[in-house]
Amino acid sequence: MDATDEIQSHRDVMKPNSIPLPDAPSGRSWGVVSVLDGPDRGRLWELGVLPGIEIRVVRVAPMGCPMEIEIDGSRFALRRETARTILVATAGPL
Amino acid sequence: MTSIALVGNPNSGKSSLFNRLTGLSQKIANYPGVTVEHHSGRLRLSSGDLEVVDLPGTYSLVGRSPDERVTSDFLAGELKGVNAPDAVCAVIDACQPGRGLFLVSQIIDMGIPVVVALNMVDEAREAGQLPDASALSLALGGIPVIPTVAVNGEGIPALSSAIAEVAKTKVSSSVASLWRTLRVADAFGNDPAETARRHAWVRSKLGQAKWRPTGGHRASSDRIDKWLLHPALGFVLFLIIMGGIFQAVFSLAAPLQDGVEMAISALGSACGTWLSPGLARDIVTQAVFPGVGAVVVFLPQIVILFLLLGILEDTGYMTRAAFIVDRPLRMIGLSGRAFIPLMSSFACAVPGIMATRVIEDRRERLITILIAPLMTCSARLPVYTVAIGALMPESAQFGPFGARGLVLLALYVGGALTGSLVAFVLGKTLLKGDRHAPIIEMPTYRWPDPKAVLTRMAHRAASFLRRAGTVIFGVSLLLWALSAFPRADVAPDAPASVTAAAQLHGSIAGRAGRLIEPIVAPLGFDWRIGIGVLASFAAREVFVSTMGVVYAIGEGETEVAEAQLQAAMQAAVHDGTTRPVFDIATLVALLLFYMIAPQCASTLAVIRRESGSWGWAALAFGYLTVLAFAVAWAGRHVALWFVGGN
Ligand SMILES: Nc1nc2c(ncn2[C@@H]2O[C@H](COP(=O)(O)OP(=O)(O)O)[C@@H](O)[C@H]2O)c(=O)[nH]1
Ligand SMILES: [Mg+2]
Repeated sequence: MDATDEIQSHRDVMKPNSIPLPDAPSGRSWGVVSVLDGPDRGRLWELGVLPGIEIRVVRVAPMGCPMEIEIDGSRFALRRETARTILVATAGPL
Repeated sequence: MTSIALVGNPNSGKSSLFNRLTGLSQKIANYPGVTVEHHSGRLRLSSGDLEVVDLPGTYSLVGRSPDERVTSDFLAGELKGVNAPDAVCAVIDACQPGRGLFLVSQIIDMGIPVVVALNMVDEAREAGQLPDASALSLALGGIPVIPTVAVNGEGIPALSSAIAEVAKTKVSSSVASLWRTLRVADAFGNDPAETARRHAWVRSKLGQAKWRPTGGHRASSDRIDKWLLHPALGFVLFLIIMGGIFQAVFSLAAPLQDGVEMAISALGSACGTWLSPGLARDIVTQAVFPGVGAVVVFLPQIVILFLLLGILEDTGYMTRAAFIVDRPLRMIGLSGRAFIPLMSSFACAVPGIMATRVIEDRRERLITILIAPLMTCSARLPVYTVAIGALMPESAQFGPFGARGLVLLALYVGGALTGSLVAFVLGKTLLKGDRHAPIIEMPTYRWPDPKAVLTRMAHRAASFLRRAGTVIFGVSLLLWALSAFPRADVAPDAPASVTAAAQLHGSIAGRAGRLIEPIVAPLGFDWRIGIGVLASFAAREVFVSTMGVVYAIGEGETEVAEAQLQAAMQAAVHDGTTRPVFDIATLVALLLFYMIAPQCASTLAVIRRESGSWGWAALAFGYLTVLAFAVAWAGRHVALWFVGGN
């Protein structure tokens, strides 16, 4: 990761109204704000997890991890720490 | 020959289409990541034959995991020993066209001629979304788009002719080199703007085709998942389903096994009466039939377990099972992906280890490979059956349960627990490091296609039989030879059992057994068990037939009668004493030894092949042997302490 990336991620974390997906109340869709750097960032992008896309936590496995998410009609299972790299907007239009 | 590659997202139906196009049967399952290497077959056309290659599913051409890399390397012509394809048939799931078109956009950019198979239109139709293939084709600038239903063959002729057409266009030779440059520059996938542009392109194409995908049968799948993935009930249902499978395997297989046993012994006796007495007859009746028979008897179990697992795979439940057990497996350093390989290992470690190819993380894959032999495979059952039978009578009860069944259950659990412990330790020591759990697609539930399930089962059964027919057959012959030579001198009027015992004592096998007796003596084993242990390094079940030879059961007959063998084992004493060989402590040690010991040449061979080095196979062999000795020794002493004695 280069320096500008790092600055970018920090700015994302700091965005006042964006929170990691697992922390967002479930039961509704959220707009993706950004994806933090991590081993799965490229994969998430190509699956369509990009800013402005709607995402939803469908359910959580019996012991709290992994989680099933829905993007664009497709369902994926990912671990909680991967889901944490997805920041979603809590309020307001995107 | 002109070659066509099938490329598409996992679970989009590539293998089903491949089977339709080539008439071959390749493994299909409703479980992402089933095709892990490339398979090729022939598509017969009036204009000449084409080679069709089925590739692992992928979401992009970046090659983010080893199996995805097979696909992208193949397309770039970088896979060793194979040429790049002349054209691509991109397979798109009509219920999830967005992700499929994303991949198509990269294929188009590569410059390879492409035809799109819009598969699963039956499901899209049912979900109220009849995609307009010609509109999509128009939006894609004239790339042929053929609607197909791989499971019933709809659209296959149209697809074949479209493929024939596209195969005529010649790729410019600069494509591969251009592509290589692109990959070096990492043009795909590491830039969100580039990825976003592609997604926008996909959306615009879908818009031009006036297509708003729905994701297929989600509503009914969600109704099922409400129960099967229920936060509390889900785990209980998972345990019930898996317990049910084991129960079914045992109860359904028993009558079939009796049938197989009878058929083999009848066949053996028939051969015995046909052949005139002599070496040839001895080989047939004492080596061939008992040896191969001991293995074939387990075919019903393996077939039934694979049938049931296959049905579960095709419904889509196995992905849910992986979802449910991910967290528990994580405690021992594995992930949900290790579940199917480990579960298959309960039938036989060989297909189980091969199934680890779906595990992306190399360390996790190695750990799974190394512990797979600890899952109780069906080859252990003959040994367990005989030893437990000698240990306690059929009528023994423990509370309301039959004691024999409980001991068997304890051995299954013991093997799995040992495996968990080993996985945990390996993950903290030799194979430590960050694990990476991939993002896995959750398919919708589907009715399994009986033909696909049955062919897959037949393949697995055939590979098991091939093993029985070669390795175990060879070993049985060798073993028989080692115990039949050099010929012992005995009075011709001596009783048959005396002759046989003297023969074994003086034979090469007998000498080898006595040679290793000091090593196995701490476990309470005598030289006869030593022979069994040595012989069963090739395959566990050989132990039973060896004991049959050792105790001269079935002289003149082919069937290794279990009860007879148990009686002989109970009567056996250490040479020159009245001390029984198979006392409780020895039997406990024997059971524990077989619970762990890596006694299967095929498993070690497949570990070598899948891990890519003899080193890992040697490690597996070494650690399992040492552990087996240690645990058996400890078990023996605990048993001695309980029952008293030396
Ligand atoms: N309903 C329906 N199911 C299909 C079709 N094609 C494949 N399937 C099923 O989809 C699942 C995945 O198929 P498979 O060929 O293994 O996909 P692959 O991963 O792309 O090779 C299997 O359960 C197939 O039976 C289709 O056209 N219609
Ligand atoms: Mg496949």
